[in-house]
Amino acid sequence: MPRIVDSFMENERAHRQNIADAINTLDTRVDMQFQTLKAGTVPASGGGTTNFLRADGTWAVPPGTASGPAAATQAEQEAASSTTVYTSPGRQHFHPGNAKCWGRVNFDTAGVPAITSSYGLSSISDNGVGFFTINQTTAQTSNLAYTVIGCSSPINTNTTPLFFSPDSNLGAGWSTTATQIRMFGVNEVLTDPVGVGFFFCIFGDLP
Amino acid sequence: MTTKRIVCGRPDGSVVVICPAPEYLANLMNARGITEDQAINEVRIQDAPTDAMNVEVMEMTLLPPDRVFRNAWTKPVNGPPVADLPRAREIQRRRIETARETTMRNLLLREALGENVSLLKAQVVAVNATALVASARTETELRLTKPVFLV
Repeated sequence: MPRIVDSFMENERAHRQNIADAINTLDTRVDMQFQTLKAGTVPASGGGTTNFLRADGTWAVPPGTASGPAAATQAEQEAASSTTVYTSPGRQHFHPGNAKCWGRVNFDTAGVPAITSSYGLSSISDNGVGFFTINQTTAQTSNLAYTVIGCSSPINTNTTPLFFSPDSNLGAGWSTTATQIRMFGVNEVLTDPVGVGFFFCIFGDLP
Repeated sequence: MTTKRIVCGRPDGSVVVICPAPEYLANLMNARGITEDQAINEVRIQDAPTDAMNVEVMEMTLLPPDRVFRNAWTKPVNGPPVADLPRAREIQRRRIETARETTMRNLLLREALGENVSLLKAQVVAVNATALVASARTETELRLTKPVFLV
């Protein structure tokens, strides 16, 4: 009786070994692999996470998914010279040719200012007649290394021009976040842009 | 668009009215999950002058309805800005003097063209801006001190 059991167990082990060998053989047998009109085994993938199985039985990176040039760093944006890296939305504003702040400020017929659209602007301070401060959301690296340009619509139904005049950047009128501007009407008198508004744009360098 | 303004006084007696940028408020509210009032407080911390006094956030409808005496505004401890009468008188005095000069120039031009304006000239010469504004006891009275014949 024990001899019969031993023989049975030995046959079972041999049978399992044959199955394992057959499976291993399938891995390398090309004639067993699937074809255009025939089901079959899948060829060895070679591992990894980037290749996908194609209908012709090869593993390959799908077209159009190859990794491209890297996003520009802040330093590369500021250098403005690389032609091999590309701008990302989150770093675009570091380019020296990109506005750091802009805004459109409209005044109603009573002369009350309101910001209608802006970028990089936290607020406008109304300091008095024709005297305002542009407050930026992010401080410039220096109060001597940025510039502001702007203009105003003429008042009194286009008959009286107004002059947009930033304070001297060597005085107290410019800090890294705040820029004082004045609006002058006829006879160099400070004047509110009543019923119209002013528009500005700031370029510079952010930390 | 927010209807609120940050209003503060300065040591020189002037008033600063800060108008927050709607885009910036929206960014703050979305990024930090805070209310508009909290976002406006962030703007106050960032943009109010370091020497600001009596700082208050208020609806813009509470501000004076026009800017006739804007440079005379002063900020009480509580409440919206009000015109400081002595400074408002000086603004109105200059306004009358400027109108007087402009009116007289116009009359002289008309006289040079042959028109008899002697009566009108006498009226303009008689205007005493200092006396007119000194008689006003309120801002409303002050607004009415400019003679109607002045441009």
